[in-house]
Amino acid sequence: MEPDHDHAPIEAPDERADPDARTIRALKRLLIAKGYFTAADVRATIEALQSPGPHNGAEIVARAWSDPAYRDRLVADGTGAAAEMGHPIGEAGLIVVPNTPEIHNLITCTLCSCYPRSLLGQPPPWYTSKAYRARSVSEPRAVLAELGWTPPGTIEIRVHDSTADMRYLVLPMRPEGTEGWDEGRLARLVSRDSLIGAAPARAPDTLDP
Amino acid sequence: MSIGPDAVRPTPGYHDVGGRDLGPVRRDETPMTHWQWESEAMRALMGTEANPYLTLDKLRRAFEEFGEALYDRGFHQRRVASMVHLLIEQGVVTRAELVAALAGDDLAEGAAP
Amino acid sequence: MSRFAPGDHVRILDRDHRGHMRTPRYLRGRRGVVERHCGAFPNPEKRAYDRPAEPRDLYRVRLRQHDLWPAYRGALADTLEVEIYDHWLEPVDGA
Repeated sequence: MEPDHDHAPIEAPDERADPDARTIRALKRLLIAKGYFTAADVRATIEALQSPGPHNGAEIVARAWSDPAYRDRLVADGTGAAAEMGHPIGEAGLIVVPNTPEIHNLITCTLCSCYPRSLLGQPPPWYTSKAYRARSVSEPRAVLAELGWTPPGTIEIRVHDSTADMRYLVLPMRPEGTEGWDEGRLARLVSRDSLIGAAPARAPDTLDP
Repeated sequence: MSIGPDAVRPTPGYHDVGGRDLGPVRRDETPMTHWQWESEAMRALMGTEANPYLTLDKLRRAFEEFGEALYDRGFHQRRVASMVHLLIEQGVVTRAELVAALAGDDLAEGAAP
Repeated sequence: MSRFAPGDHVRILDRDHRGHMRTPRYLRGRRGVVERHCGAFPNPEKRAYDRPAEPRDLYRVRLRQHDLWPAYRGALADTLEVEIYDHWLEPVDGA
């Protein structure tokens, strides 16, 4: 179950003593003293890093569900179509992979933790875990079940290992029973998990009226 | 102290985990802590064309060469270790400066009410 | 003009490479089909060390999961797509 996306940073109770927190504080002080950046730069960069999020992906998907020509552009050129919606991609390229009745896509990065951060923000810890990275490629169906969703046995599961410069966004299928919905309402059905491929989009009856 | 491409690494490819049986995937949704956001911000500020010390390619290369023990401490933890490794390697900071800054941190944090 | 086109059958080489690379071990020696040419990007194997990085063609390759994993439990149709640099690929005859 994915959480609400509240960015309020957590001050862990032991953050004073945590060795990595201490290292970061010390490095920050050193690099500021040496003139590489200022404390204001760090605060501004944090804000910039926290600005993207799954809402950007939801907006893009809702547009694709509503506008077939946009959907075609999105699948042909993810980078260009994202930019059209005001979401320039900071990484080398965005590839959008559409789910169909025959194919369900799942995104991973076995070598590190590549994720379309400039669009969706930071990935959840389960995505960057060694267990997910290792078994998403060899046992995708078991991993999906562990994450809470079991795909149909007959569908093709297509795993994308982000081994190099591209980043990936899953275009989930539009749920049944959403005819006539406006984009704002459709976007509420697009979970972060569905953009990674860990689940389909939410069903209409899961929303509050 | 760079371990260049021709050196023998402690355990080759410990980061290259695709296909390994590493146990069940736990749905960890822990939000990032304050220091983790600061870490990412500093990585971005020091990974630019003007200051190319902590680019993503270098960050990855560093955590592939500093050994599995450090790597397994966790995702954000390995990024911090990678940053330290690279900043010292490229002469941006020295180990002595970092030790002194950590000692200063102890004094500052200890003095906080 | 890139060496491979979508639909070409390729094998991922098992090169003896030390240092940073973006070709996972689980793909070495495996066959697949080129899905697209992504473009040319600076070679990450060089960029990781501050060495001059020549642009290299990057391809997406589609493989069958049942070809990759001896004990794969999933649909016969299940696939995996990866990005592989040109110097890690060789052409093979179509299946």
